[in-house]
Amino acid sequence: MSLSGKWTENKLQETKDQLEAILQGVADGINVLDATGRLIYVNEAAARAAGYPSAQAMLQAHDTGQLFERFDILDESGQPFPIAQLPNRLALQGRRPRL
Amino acid sequence: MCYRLRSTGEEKWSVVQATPILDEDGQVQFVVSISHDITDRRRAEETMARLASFPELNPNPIVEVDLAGQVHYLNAAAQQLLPGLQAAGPLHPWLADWASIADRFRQGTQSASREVPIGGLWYQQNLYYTEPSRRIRIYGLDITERRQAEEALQESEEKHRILLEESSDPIFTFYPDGQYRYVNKAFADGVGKTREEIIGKKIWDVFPKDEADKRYAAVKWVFENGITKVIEVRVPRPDGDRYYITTVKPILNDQGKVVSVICISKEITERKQAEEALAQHDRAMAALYETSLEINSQPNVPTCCMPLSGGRSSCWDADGRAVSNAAGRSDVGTCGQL
Repeated sequence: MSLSGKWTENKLQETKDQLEAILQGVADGINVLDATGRLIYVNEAAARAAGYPSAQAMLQAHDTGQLFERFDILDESGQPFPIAQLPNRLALQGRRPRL
Repeated sequence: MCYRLRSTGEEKWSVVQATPILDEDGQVQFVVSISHDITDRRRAEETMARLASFPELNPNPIVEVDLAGQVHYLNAAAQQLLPGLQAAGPLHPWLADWASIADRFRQGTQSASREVPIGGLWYQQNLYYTEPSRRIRIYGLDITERRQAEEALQESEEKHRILLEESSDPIFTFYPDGQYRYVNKAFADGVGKTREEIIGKKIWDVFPKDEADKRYAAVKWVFENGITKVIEVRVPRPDGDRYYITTVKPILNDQGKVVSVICISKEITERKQAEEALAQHDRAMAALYETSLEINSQPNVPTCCMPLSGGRSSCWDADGRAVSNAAGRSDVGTCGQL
């Protein structure tokens, strides 16, 4: 690897670390799904809000199909809310929902 | 959206916004979701809604008004019961005399209470000054029934007061220590004083000690025993003694305790005088009878009988011959010897 390539890689890692620190530090919950609907990123705030001890634990729960075993999503009347109607699921179809 | 943690049962609220990240072909590559926790805000809103429901569901009118008399809030009951208030402002009877009320609050009064008539109804208003809005919150309560009851009671009391005042029989009440609580005019007249000179004074201030002791003994007994007692009393007067039969009756509270005694007197002076005259007459008759017995023991005294209907008496000597009442003595009794 060339010297400039190494510098670029270091700079990218530095930027990634800064971004990661910011995302993990914000109070709002942030999660990212890939095009298949797999949860590929979740910050600490989102994990804690969902009842998980860490972001890593929440990602593992998703991968083992146990993501929704720690909490229930409810509508205004207290009835179960359909998963397919969640904002991130609708966004997978190219929509920009807000709920 | 709302979600509930299974571990604790806690419900949380979030606003979630999901944004698709598209590739060059416009296909969804990622979806980024950002959720903002609004649980505290939702709970505050629920608390506010719950608190707001208190005045809203209150069946009594609640109104908030500024010092100028402009109405800023009416609860549901106020809107129904005071339909013209919002438009009329300080001209509405609900805000009667508002300028002087507002002045009192400007000068530092924090709360006030008053009663106002509105369309045949009476409302009690409790007014509270609120900072920092500098508005007056008015809590109304329909007191029409209470006012009517009070007026009826006042009317009844007035009638009874007149009855008591105008009664020709002395009527008076006592405290346990023998202090006069109430006396009517007949009582005051009977003892030759004004009502003001008697009420608040004790029995001993009004009557000689022997009469006062007698009265207080009866009053004390009734206070202690809760049983009605009847006594005969004498009222010394410059124009001659007056006599009364007095009924001393206990007044009991709900717990059966004697709180006062009421005395109702009936003057019996004429009856006493008649009894006294009769007693004097009996004594005279007895004396004459004694005298006649002495005369009867003397010889040659004719026997005389006087008709009960009056007229001259007839006399006989010892042999049964009629003789005149030559002795010139008064005819007494129905038959006897002169």
